[in-house]
Amino acid sequence: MMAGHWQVIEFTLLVCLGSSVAILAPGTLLAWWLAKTKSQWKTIVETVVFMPLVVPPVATGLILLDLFGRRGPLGSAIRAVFGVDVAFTWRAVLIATAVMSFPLLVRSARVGFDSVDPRLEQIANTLGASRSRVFFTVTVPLAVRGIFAGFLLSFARAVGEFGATILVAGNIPGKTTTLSLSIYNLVQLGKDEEAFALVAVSVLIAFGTVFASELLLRARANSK
Amino acid sequence: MKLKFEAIRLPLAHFALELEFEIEATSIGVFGESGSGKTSLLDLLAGVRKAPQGTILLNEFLLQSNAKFVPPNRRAIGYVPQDLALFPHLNVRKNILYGAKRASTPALNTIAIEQVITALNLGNLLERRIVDLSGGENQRVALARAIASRPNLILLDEPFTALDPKLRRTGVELVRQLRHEFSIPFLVVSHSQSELRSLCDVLVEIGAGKILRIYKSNSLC
Repeated sequence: MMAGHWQVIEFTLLVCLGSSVAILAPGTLLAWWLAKTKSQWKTIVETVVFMPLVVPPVATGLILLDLFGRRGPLGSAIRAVFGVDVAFTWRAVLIATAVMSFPLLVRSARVGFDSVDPRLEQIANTLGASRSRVFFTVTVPLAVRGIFAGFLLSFARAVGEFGATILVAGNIPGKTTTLSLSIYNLVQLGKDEEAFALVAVSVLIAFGTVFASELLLRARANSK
Repeated sequence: MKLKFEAIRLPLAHFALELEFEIEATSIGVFGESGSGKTSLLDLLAGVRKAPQGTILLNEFLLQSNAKFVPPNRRAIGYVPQDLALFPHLNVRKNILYGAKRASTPALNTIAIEQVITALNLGNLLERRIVDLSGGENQRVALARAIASRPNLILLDEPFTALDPKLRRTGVELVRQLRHEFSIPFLVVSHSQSELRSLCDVLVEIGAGKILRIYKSNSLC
C-alpha cells in the first residue's frame, strides 16, 4: 500500500472514532428513554431515529448538505458563531458518519437497557439512591455491554459510510476522502489491485468490530 | 411503628386492592393466598408503586396522599423482595454498602456496617460475586443491604419461600435478629401463617385485595 492509503486509513479511523464518541452520550440517553418511556411520542421518535437505516444514504447526505451548507440554517449559524465551514470539510465527514451510524448505536443500547430488570432499579431507589444515581450505578453498568456493542457497530457502520459522506463532504483527496471513497476512486482509475488492498483493510476493520460486538452481546445473554 | 392506610385503592389484574387499617406494632405479618395483593401492599409502602387514591402514614409521616407522594429514596424503608434483587454487577461488599449512604435516622444511626456484617456472618463473603453465592447467602446479603441502609422499617416479601427447611429456620432466626439486635420494625409477608406467628406481634390476613382480619399473634398461640 502507498503512503497516501495509510493517510486515508488513519483519517477514516480517527473521524469514525470521533463520530462514534460524539453520538455515544446522546445515543445512550435516547436508548434509555426509548426503553423506559410510555410517552405517546415514542413511536414517532423511534421512527425518526431509525430513518437513516432505510432512507437512501444520498438522500440523507442531500438533507445534511442543505442543513450544513454555507447557506443552510445550521451551516450559516456555525459559521457565524465559530467562523468555520462544515460542508466539504472533515467536520462534514464526522456529521455524515454520525447521523448514519446513530440508529445502530441506539438500537443496540436499547436492547441493553431492555434487559435490565426494573426491580433492581426500584430496590436501588428504596435504598436511598436518587434516580440519577440509580441510572449511573445500576442501569448503565447492567446495560453496558449493549451500549458498547452499539458503539462498536456504529463505528463499523461509520467506516463503511459512502453515500451521505460524498454528498455533504465531497471527495477531496487528503481532506475528506475516506476509505470507502478511496476504494471508489481507485476503481474509477482502474487500480483494482490497490482498491482490493483497501477493501481488505475495511473488511478486517468491519469483521473485528462486528465480531467484538457479537461477543459482547453473547456474554450479556449468557450472564442473564 | 404506627402504620395507617386510609382509603387506599389500587386496581390490580382481577380485583382492586382496598386498604383501610391502622396498626401499632414492632413486627407485622401479612399472610394470604397467592395473588391476594400482599406484594402490592409492600410495593405501596416502599413507594415503588403509587395508588391513584388514598393516604399512607408511617409513624405520622405522610408517605402518600392524593396531593403528595414521597419517592422511595426519601422514605427510609428497606425492602427485601421475594427475588432479593441483589445487584449482579457488584460484589457482596458493594451490595451491602449501596444503601449505606442514606442519611441516617436518629434512632438508628448507631448501626455500624461492621456490626451488620458480623451479625449476619458475611465477613468471609465480602469479595464474592453475587452469582457465586448460595440461596441462603443471597438472603443474608439482601437482609444486610436493607439493614445497612438504616431504615425506619424493613419490608420482607416471602423471605423463606426459596429456602430448604434448615435454611428456613436460619432465615426465621435472622429476621428475629432484626428485632433484637438492630431494633428495626419489620413487616413480613408470607403464605405461611405459622411462621409469621412465631415472628410477629400482629398478623394481618388479606384476601382478594381486602383485609379480612387483624389480630395479635399470641391470641392464637
